[in-house]
Amino acid sequence: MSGAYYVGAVGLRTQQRALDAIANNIANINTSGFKRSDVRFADVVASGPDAALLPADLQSAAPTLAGVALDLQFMINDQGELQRTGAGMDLAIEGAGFIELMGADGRTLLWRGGRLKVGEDGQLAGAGGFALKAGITVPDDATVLAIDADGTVRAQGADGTEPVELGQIRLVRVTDPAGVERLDGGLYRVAEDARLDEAAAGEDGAGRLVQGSVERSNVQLTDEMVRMMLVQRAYAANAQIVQAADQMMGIANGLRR
Amino acid sequence: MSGLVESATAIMRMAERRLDVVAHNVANISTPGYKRRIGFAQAVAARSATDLPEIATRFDAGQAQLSETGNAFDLAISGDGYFRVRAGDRMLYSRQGQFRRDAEGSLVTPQGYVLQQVGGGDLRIDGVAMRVGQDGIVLDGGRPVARIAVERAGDPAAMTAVGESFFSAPEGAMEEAEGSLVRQGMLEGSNVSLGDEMTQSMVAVRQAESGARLIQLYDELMGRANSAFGGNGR
Repeated sequence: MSGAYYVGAVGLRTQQRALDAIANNIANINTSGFKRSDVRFADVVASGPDAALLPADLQSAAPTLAGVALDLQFMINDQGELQRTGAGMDLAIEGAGFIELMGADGRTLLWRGGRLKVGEDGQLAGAGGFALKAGITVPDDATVLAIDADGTVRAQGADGTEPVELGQIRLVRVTDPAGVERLDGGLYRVAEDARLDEAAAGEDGAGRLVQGSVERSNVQLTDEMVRMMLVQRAYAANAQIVQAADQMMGIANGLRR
Repeated sequence: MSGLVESATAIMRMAERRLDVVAHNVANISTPGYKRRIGFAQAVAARSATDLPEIATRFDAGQAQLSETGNAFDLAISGDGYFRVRAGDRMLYSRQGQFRRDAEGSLVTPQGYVLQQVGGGDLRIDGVAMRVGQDGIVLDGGRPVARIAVERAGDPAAMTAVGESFFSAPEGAMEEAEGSLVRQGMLEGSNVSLGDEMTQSMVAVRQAESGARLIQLYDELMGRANSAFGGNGR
């Protein structure tokens, strides 16, 4: 059986998955805080038959060529453009850090910022209503919330008194982007064994917090379009190879008349 | 006479193998650092029908174009040479510069192989910002920490592919590559050219056709001989 058939099919499937990733990037071009996924290809060579199983004269010296593999990586350290909204509850991060949220199952979720909410219990919460790990409780009579670049949260009461410091939002940095899993709604979850570097905003490259802004997605439409065209052409080329393999099988089948 | 059949089947088998190589190249048309395989017929020692040529593969080590990715951990080599990476306790070589930083601060490939520095040892980055000069010197937060090992093989044929764009080389076969530049934030593309590959696939199909034609011709001759001699004998 011809290997070209299989390699061609593997190529088609891989290009298809690359196209899926590009489609997802383009679909989220206006999603705030979205990080595009990058497609990384690697060629696959299956190793030759096991030396212990086959006699020496049956082993082929050259390894079998087996096609291409694909790996997706989130470009989480790639900064998106900050867009000023003026809304006091919008929070963006300028830099590589993440805000920690308390997940439903007690696991930490990472968030790139967006619109803050005040939960029923008065806790400051992020996307999906998950409370911030910093555990900041907003008093009932607070009217204005101010967040500094270093994450300090202050609230001003209704009676015009001095602002009260409520707490500080700290940031974490992910050292290994491969240990990050993307969830819905701009949230990320880290693997159990992944290391997170905690830092106050503005220190150690964790970035600073910007109130009244949202981070736009880091998808560049022109880049994605060029990638899409390349994928399309590569897909067609792989399809041609499958056709050529088929033609060759047809010749072999036509031997016996 | 049966030698003809064997030769013809060998031609068809060779055509098939040639197409396998083409398929692998086309599948990797967008794999960074991929070096295209060239199938060639090994020297023919046509003493007997069993010594028929087989298709072997070698690499075209030619430089592919570099493209900017903007990712600081993407590295490309401009010129000769390979990055040295450690897979367990084995040293492998690759031109695929898609690295990322793992939890320990080492630079690793998508497969988890660790990038090596000159003189041996894993390359570790503690700080946030990594700068790599064109001479391969790594600046971690502005201070030089290591130099990336870029090595070339004295005899390129000594390198064998071990899959996923990696090569292995015997002990002592590698030497430092002089004059090669390391470019940060760039990736080397694949050096497959679609025109060549499509031509090769056409060659392979035609070759299979001619092999098939030979067999049919032989079959026809045998059929004729059978009927002619069979008729006379009656």
